[in-house]
Amino acid sequence: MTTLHFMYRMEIDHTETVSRCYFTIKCIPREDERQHLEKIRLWLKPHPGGAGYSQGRDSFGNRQIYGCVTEPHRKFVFRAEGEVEILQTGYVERVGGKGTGAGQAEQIGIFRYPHGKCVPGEGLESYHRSLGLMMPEHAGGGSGLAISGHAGGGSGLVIPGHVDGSPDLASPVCACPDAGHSLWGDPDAAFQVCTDLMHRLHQDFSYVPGATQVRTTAEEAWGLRKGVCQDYAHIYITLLRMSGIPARYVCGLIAGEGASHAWVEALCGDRWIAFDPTNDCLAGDQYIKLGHGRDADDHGINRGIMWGGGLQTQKIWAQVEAVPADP
Amino acid sequence: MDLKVSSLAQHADKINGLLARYGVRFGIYKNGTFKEQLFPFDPIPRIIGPEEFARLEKGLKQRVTALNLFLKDIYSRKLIIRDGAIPEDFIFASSGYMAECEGALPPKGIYSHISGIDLVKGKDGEWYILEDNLRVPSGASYPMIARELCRRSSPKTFQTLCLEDNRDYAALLKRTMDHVNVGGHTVILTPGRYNAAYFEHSYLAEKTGAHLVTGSELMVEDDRLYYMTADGKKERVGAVYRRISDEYLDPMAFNPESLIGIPHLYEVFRKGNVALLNAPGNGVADDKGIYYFVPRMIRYYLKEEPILQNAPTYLPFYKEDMDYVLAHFDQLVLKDVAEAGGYGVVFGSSMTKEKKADFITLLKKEPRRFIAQEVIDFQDLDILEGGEAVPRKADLRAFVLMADEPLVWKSGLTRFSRDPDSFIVNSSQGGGFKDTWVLYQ
Repeated sequence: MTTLHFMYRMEIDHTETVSRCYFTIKCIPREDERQHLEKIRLWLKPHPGGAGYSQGRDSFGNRQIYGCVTEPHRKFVFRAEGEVEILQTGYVERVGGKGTGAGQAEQIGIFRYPHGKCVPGEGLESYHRSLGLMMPEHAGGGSGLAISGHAGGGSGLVIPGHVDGSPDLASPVCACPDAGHSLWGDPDAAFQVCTDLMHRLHQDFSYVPGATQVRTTAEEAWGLRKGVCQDYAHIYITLLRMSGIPARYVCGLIAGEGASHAWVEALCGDRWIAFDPTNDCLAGDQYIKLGHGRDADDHGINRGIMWGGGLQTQKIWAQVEAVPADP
Repeated sequence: MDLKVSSLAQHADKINGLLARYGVRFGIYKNGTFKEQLFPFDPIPRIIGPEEFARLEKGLKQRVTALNLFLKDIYSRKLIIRDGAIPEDFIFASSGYMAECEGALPPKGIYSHISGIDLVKGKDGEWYILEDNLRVPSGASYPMIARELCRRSSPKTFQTLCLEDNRDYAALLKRTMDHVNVGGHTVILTPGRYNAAYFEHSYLAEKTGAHLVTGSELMVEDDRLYYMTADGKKERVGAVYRRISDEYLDPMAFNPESLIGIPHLYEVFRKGNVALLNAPGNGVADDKGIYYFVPRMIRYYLKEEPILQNAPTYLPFYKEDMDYVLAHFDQLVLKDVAEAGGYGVVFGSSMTKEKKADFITLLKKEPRRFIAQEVIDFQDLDILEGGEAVPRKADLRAFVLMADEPLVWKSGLTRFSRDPDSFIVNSSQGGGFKDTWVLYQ
């Protein structure tokens, strides 16, 4: 079992005074079967005052704090610091398990359809076709979509034996006894599709900071064949959903220092499994999940509206490191 | 009766003049530009007899009750999907479905407080539902003020008629708003006086006694919503009859570019500290795709047979329906589920050969995007044009309010197409309106 210490700091500098600012911050790690939030402390400056902020959850069950700063300021600072215990790394949560909100079977459809930044255009459609995966077909009646046979059939992909740096790769597959709710009735087959897609994407897309922006969609990033973790996640989600596998966008932190990170959870059988397409591996014990949604827009770490302020510059600094075990 | 109607007809110009003076207008978008125009009033009322209305009333209550149960189910347990009555495609792939609304139960569990249900009467004498409007349906104020002005201009006409007084709409609306108010003022939130329906916003505020406010007069503090009075006081708001659409309600939860919304209003709603009429997210229950399933909702939630029928509709999503649509293409009307206001509607018979081929390719590619309907041969209503009565296509928007019980307003907005060849009566397409008279025994 690993315990990770994390720190996340965001600073916004304004060229002019802000007279009023509304904020929503989603920076409290989510609790699930994979991770447990041991402790957390939050700082806000200027402080919104006693009744100035509230806590709650968004519709995906992510924790959020929100409020209004009425003290005039030119600098807004937010800092979160805490510890997260990684309980296991095989899967994130089981459908119908302890997770909040979207862990329920009825909610899976939310992550099964194209949405927002994860809508395929011609580029991704043709790429997906070139991968030789089978597409789910429309049902002739009754409910929902039909399962278009077995995932393995017709696949032109080479099934890899092992992914470097991901010792956990094999374990979750064996741990999926129930075909459950995935379109790919067979969790092993679904897992295989996820893995294959991830490898292919990793080969065909390059990590190049600055090539894309926060607003870039999956299709746009794919057109450039380069981008950052958010783009990898959006493209991967789009491809998974096209393959009939429900997938969700995860925003979180990863061991080391720098910015926040984004990866993907895909439903294999009845379990959500975390894949990191940027690093072509499973999200293991070095990952702290903050929250999830259908795409990046559903889980921005901070969102704000301000009156005044002129131009702004934002600085983000995140740090995650393992807490040494007690001797 | 005829005599009295004709006496009203003599007053038509006067009434239209008064309506113009009161600012009864309707905004339309045409070729990308916004134009405000008068909403022409035709003095010949649509008349509905007591028995006929009683049946309509029963059917409308049933439908809106089921639609409300559906919305509550869809944003929580989704049993109707689990039980296979509605394919999840029509929920999650619908542009009206808002994941942001998951798990946020509105006060008293009511989603569609004010529903505008559009119907047409067929030549067979049957009423058919054309569409449900559960977001921000407008139009009740037009027959209200038209009645008021008609009574004023022609008082004798109304002396002996057994006519339901439709000016009680304000009382019904107030009862509906009060029922869900969680404590505090009731306000009507308008985008402002340049909005096409501003007349209606101000008229309903005046008639119900609610404050008419814009977003800048409301603010959120400590998970509560406040109204800033002119003298700088903050007063708690318990219910908002909002006349702005979901995406503009709260820039922190929905469209961040919205300037007319109230930051964090949605969080106040989520915590149960304010009622929003109608609740956000209702679009999932009133798009043209889900329309097909409303009779199933009635059977599923109420264990009853639908009293009012849908227009015969086919869903190309289902293979047998697709086959039917392809075989009978020329006799059907095709509608894009994502469009509203009379847009995205095409008649199979009016397409050129190439256009038809293109359309069929698109239909096969995106079968979920379209519905096909039989063209209903509906009863024409007479309108006055140049002093003469001429028949025109007309529909009826009935208003159903969900208070402590469902209430059907004993009137409604009858809209007609001024173009004799047009089947589309939507006021966005520039038609006119009539008063709707419901008689009692």
